[in-house]
Amino acid sequence: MILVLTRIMPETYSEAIEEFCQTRCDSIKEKFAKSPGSELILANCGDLSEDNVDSILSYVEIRLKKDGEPKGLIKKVFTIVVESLQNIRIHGTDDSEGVKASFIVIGREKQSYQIWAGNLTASNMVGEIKTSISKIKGLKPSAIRQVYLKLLSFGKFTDKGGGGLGLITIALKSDNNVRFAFEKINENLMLFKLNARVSAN
Amino acid sequence: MNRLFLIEGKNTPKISFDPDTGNFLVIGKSYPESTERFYKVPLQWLKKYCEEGDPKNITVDLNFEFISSASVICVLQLLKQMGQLRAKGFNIKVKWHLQDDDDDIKVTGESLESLCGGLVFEYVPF
Repeated sequence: MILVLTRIMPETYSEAIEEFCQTRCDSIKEKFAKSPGSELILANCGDLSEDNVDSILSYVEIRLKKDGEPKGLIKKVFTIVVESLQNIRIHGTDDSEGVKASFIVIGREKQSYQIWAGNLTASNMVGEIKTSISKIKGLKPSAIRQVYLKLLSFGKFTDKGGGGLGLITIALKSDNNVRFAFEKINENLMLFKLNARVSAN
Repeated sequence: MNRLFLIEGKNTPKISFDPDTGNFLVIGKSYPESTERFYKVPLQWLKKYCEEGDPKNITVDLNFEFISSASVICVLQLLKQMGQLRAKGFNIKVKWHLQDDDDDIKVTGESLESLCGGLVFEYVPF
């Protein structure tokens, strides 16, 4: 069973941005449809409401338990999904019509789960996000743990949130099998994408 | 001071701080979207207790089924407030509860313990 929460975008959406997110989401879904042994578990594209978040998290937990996955694996996947969704909800930028377009896709391959998430980001925020990402690029999990502790030691929120702790948590749970990318939408907006893989072994 | 009691929500833990018994408890899942806003209440309560309370024995039971990265920041802030109580003469015992096979929660506890300024955690398996 696949849970697809794709909803029709309201007419007020910027059509170009809508299409941009939708095509990225669709291409990931297509990849899973064509890949032998792979299974699409969940896809959501559009404005992400709190109700959507609750549905997604509830479904992920129930589905992985039903599939008999071990507790440790369920926790890792659940953690990445929580952090990805909160990144979208808290840090995602609105488009010019006040809509926070995004996508999240979760799939299972033979030996791993993959989570893709995308959200709009203001172009002037890209540098800061890249700085957070650069702290963990190429690091082994033990070294990422040190980066995590250093960030956590600041022990407070700034106007930028938890200082990148969410992205570092995603890296930790995926043993740093996580990729980040930016795609330009227009002069003011980028699409921030992440793809995390959790080994099922 | 009156006891602080917050009932468990769909993504927020139950919180019970009882100044009479000295039993302080946080139990459940913690991944609210507005994490800072949720933990503001217990943090403010603790700050006030630090100003007004008389030193005594406090047992802090922390039992998280799941805790988001933002919640870890807030729990660290709670623990630092406990550190302030300890500096005032309170005897603080922290119990970090975890299931035997939950490495994730264990590592989170160890991370917090290393950063909360001298509070020693007792790890309690169940």
